[in-house]
Amino acid sequence: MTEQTEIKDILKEQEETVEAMFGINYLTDQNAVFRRTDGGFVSLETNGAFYGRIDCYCAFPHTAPYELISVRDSDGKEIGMIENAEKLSGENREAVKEQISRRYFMPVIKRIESVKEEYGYSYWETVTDRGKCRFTVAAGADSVTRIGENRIFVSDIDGNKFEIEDIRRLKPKELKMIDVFL
Amino acid sequence: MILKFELPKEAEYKISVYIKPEDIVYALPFDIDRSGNIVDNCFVAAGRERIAVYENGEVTKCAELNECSKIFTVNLVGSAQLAVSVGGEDTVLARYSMKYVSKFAYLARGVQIFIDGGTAVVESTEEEKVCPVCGRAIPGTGKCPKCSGGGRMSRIAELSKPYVKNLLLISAVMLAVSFANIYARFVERDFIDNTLITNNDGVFGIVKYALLMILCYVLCVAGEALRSWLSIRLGSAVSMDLREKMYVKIQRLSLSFVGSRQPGELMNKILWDTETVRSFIEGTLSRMLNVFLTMVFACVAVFAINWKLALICFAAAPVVGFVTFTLRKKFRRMYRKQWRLSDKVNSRLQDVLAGILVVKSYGREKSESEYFCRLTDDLARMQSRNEKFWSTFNPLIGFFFSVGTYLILYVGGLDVLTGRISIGELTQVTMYTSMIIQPLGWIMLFPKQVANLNISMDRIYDILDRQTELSNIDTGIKKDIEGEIEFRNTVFGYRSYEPVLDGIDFRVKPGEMIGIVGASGSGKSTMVNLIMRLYDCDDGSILVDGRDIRDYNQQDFHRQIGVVLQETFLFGGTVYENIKFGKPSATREEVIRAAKIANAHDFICRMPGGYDTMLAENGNNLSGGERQRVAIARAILNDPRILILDEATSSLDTETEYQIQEALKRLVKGRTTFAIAHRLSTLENADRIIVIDGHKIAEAGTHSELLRKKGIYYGLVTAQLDMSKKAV
Repeated sequence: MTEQTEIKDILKEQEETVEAMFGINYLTDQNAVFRRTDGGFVSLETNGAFYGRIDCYCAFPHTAPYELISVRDSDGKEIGMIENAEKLSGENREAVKEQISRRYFMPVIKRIESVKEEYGYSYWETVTDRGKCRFTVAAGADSVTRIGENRIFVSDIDGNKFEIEDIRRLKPKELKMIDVFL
Repeated sequence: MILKFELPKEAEYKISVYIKPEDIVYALPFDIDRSGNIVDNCFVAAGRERIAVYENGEVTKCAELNECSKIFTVNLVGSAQLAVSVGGEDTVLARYSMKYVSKFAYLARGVQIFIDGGTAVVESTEEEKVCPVCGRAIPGTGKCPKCSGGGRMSRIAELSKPYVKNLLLISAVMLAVSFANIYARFVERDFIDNTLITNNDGVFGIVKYALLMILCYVLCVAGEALRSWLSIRLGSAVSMDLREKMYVKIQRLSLSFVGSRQPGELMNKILWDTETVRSFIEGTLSRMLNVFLTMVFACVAVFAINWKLALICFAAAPVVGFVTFTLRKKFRRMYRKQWRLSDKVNSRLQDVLAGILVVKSYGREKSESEYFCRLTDDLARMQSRNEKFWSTFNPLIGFFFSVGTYLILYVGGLDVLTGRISIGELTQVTMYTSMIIQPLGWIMLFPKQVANLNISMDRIYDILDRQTELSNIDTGIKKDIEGEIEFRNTVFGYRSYEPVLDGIDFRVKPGEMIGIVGASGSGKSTMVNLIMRLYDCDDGSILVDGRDIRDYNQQDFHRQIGVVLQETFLFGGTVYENIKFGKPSATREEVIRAAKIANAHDFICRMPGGYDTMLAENGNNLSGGERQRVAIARAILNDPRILILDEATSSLDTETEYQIQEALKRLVKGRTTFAIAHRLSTLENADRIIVIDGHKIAEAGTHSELLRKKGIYYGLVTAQLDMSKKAV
């Protein structure tokens, strides 16, 4: 009997230590103030500490870009996490969302105007959600990764990435242009 | 790499308010604006006093360099930004895509020199990725494929040069076959018109024509056999040639090339792409000539016989061609989908079987098999759907092929009845029609096959034309080295914009043992990679016996280095062969001596096969410690002057580690040794220890010196002591 309670106590104690060491420190409207700086970065004041420049890292950039955001200082050390950036209010939300979209730059291809193949490279002319974009892709299927059935990431020769959200939404003409990559 | 772009007049004028055009040292374009949109015509210009940003037609920012404390780049995902620190506050100057990342890294390095009061101008030896003249991407060859001339045709010509005789022979055979094919129909016509209908020559005529026709057929069949025989020989020869060339080239290319690619990708290049070339030569090239010649002959013949029938034939041809082409395309798409699904089933199966232990221990058998069943169900459904479609529509292709023939039979039949053409002529024309129409579907696939060939050829030549990054591989001096090594302001990074080692200065006397310590990723292995000259440093130099490492003949230099890595790699073959890998001429006695020093002799002798024991793939039939000791024996057999131990003992248990430590102690005597270790106790014999931190040598000295200093090393040692205490 006493032995059992003892084990329970140990387990409980262990749980507390683990929680203290590895628990997630959530940043909320109550304990954190995010501010856009004049310099184009974002600062954070939380629990009495002030960080002049923070970065927002997405834990799931492709599948849940605004959830579980790891907030880190300029040395890359985690300060805390945001459960859902959408649920922050006012300036906090704006600042964090802006920082996220700044960190992850992957234009979404809305329209493919032409794909020209020459000397082992294809030259794409596209319209993305970030504006018109021309880029060069090395020939062969290596440059295109499929995420699931219909979502596609295209990498160009410089390492930029572009997304096609759903190839079923492309026009037959556009599909034909990128047929060799699929 | 260009770091000073030509500014457009407008930009130059607007910027001149802050920086005079002649004072501009660096000028780079950037392509993302403040709201994250892709833009054109935006520039950052830097002089010795100011840096200015020109965006959307205006100078939006300008910083006085004497007020800045730091200029730096922040690497984001898919883009990066340039920023300055003024009075403790950071300000973003410009944002750019990966296209300009390395350029801006150089710019930041250059401008930082001005901020620190220097005057030096940074230059980059890195190659441009895009041709400055025409804007095309430059492949690994370093030359623009368009501007430097020499496109695919010249490559193919160059490639086929040794095979001209073979090619000419194939063409000749093909010409003969096509001709025989066409001629056989003339014989048939004469046979029908002159022998069967008019009965001019009686039995003698029948025999004559039968013999003639047999002759034609024999000629055709023999020609066809000769053709495929010759083209198989040609295809195999060319692809073998390419494979050998590629293999040799890949072996010569530096690790930075091989390392930046997946092993599978290179294997694909060697196997798959050469296979494409082979099947093109064997299947497409020779058949193409044959088909083309036959078609031309048949067209001419049809026209000569009856232009009206010829026109019908030509009218039907495009329709038939189009229909069969579309159908085939549909088939291909269907089967591609099926292939992708079956690929998924295969890889899932492979995954689960390989990880069966994990699946079982987590009790996931049921859900895994359900998932797998669902996949195979999908596959089965798709297969049966595809097969149904195929078996319905494939015969239709046959029907379409004969449409032209039916039309001709009808029109020509009328003509025969009215006596305008003979029965023999009609037969002949129908035969020719099918000769023209049948290959059409295949011909329409031809562009696709050429495109595939081109892609493969490009990928092959991407390797073959690549310049070897390391110079002096074959030339350079051959010399027995003493083992003195000196780093002089050495800078190196796997990517130019991320230096891993930044300004290393260090000198090692011959025979000294140096321990290298540092956090993972700090550049310890990179340092030994540079000593082994698997890469050349970007800046500064490395001297061996007072001479630049680049002056040495690489092979001869490598002969004098012994390496033991954490993950040993053993090849398939016997233990004996593995030990003498670096010195194929070694005698049995030498091998045994090396094995003895490596503490390996005893366990090797105990094995039933002794030194003749065959090793499984990567020596999997040996334990980790045994593999390691074989690797050590391999390293010492050469009696190397320089010895590199990269975490050589870290994956072993304490007992084995002790044995190996013993072996290593014997080994390092009198050799310049670099040992990387996490377990610091391993390094207690080291003459000096260097600690790498922040891309530089943070501390250097003997074990006790460093302990007294109470710096990073002291912290590491006490942390490990703490851990082992706790473990006890």
